[in-house]
Amino acid sequence: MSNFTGITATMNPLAEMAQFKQNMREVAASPEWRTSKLIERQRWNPYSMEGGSTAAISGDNFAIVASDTRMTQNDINILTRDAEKIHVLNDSIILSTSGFYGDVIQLRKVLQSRLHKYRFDYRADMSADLCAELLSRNLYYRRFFPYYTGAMLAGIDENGKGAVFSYDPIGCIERLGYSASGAAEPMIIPFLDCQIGHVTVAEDYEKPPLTIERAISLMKDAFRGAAEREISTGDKIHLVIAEAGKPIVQKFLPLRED
Amino acid sequence: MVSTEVKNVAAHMDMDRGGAFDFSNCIRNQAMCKMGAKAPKLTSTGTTIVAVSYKGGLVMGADSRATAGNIIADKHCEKVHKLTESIYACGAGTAADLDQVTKMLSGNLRLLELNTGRKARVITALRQAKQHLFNYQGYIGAYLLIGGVDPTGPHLYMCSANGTTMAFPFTAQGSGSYAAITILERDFKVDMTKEEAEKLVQRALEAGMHGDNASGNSLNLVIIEPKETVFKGPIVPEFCKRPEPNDLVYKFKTGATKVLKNKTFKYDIIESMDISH
Repeated sequence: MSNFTGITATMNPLAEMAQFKQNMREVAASPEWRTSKLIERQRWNPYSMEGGSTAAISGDNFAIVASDTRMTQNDINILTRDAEKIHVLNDSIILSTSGFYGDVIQLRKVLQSRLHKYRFDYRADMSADLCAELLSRNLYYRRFFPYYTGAMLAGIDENGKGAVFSYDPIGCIERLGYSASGAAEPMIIPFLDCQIGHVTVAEDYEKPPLTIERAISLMKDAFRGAAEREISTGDKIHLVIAEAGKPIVQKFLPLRED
Repeated sequence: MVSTEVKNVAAHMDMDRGGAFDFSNCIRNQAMCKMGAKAPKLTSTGTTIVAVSYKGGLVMGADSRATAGNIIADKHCEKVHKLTESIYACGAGTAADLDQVTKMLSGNLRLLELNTGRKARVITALRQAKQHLFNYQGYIGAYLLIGGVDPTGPHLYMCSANGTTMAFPFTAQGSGSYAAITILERDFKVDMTKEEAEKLVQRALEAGMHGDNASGNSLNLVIIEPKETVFKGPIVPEFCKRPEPNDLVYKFKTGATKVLKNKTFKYDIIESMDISH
């Protein structure tokens, strides 16, 4: 269980102590349960969270993105069992998102229209690297009323290598080997840290190479594990595989539905 | 000096309720909140509990998932509590409160049975629960379905944390109750057979477990009749099973953990103890 938080040490502990004693006297004179409680007005909140998780792994010549397909309201209610959180933007760029689905749709629309304009202007598809930078700018553009999304951009970069870019809601960008975002992020990240990053094993321990087959298996297992212990993750795995020189493959695999 | 003053203040507050709960930190905590501290939030467990009465008996059931926030804390949590041989209570709400309240009820009812030499009645269990819960003004987060069979017939009651009680022919409680009640409203009939009632409760529970994130894993049933009480479970519905096993085996070979330091202790064995039996 969590403890009381929020009190920080001040410059003058004696004055603070005196203040605390004063508060004790005041509270004892009229405790909360003897006064009529003030009703806090519920303020409208422009954001909501629809749960679910996504993860991405990049390898030498491939990138794999996966998400579950459950959409949840208030952590409890299931809105749909086949929501799409992975969006294939072109032949080499995959956007995967978690967070507020309304912003996800808007963000996808913005990116798609920018990609369309790029294609119109330059007669070529945008590369993953460029799109990654574009997304970062679009997110930071809304610095003070952000898109409430945990976005990840994956694909094959200009050199034919797999790429995963991870973002925070206001556009901080980072190119990583693997990443996860959403409700089960705290469960998936340590798993990938162990199995791909090998951060927990001894240096001289035998480390299996990250083949595309192994990456796909790890991704499936990560979501199977998350569905066991995280309530807003489940129903189906949406798996999107991008391999250099090959068309993007999409798959759906079953997960537990409870 | 500070501490004695606080103690006097606390004594004046007249908060001691004969050793039931310790309220001695209440004043301090409120003062801390005034200093800008944030109080910890209590979480209640999501649940689906269902009960249906039928001709001459009662079926009650619950799922087995306990959650702490969005994490499943317990996959095999027992939410069907035995009060007496033929009175059971299903609980939704704060897990610790439910355990304690049902333990208290079963103890009191057993004493009553021993003192009177008769079987306890369901209404007695209900009255005890509601008086206890009303005393605590809803701060004991126990939402109960109390049901059973006594010499006056089968009874089913709902008892809310603030002490509200109601009688029902069928009902559901907990976060999955919306999904479960739809099944009950559609398919409940008066004077069902035991098999019909059991199937209905199971279907309602499965709807709750399917449609509610905070319910699932497995279900437990209890069928209460004047002659005998049958407990069934845990039953695992098809959608609660893992559809596919893991692809890889996650077993670390020796050497995965780096050895930082080696130290050998040598002991002389002076006497050995026979632990074979």
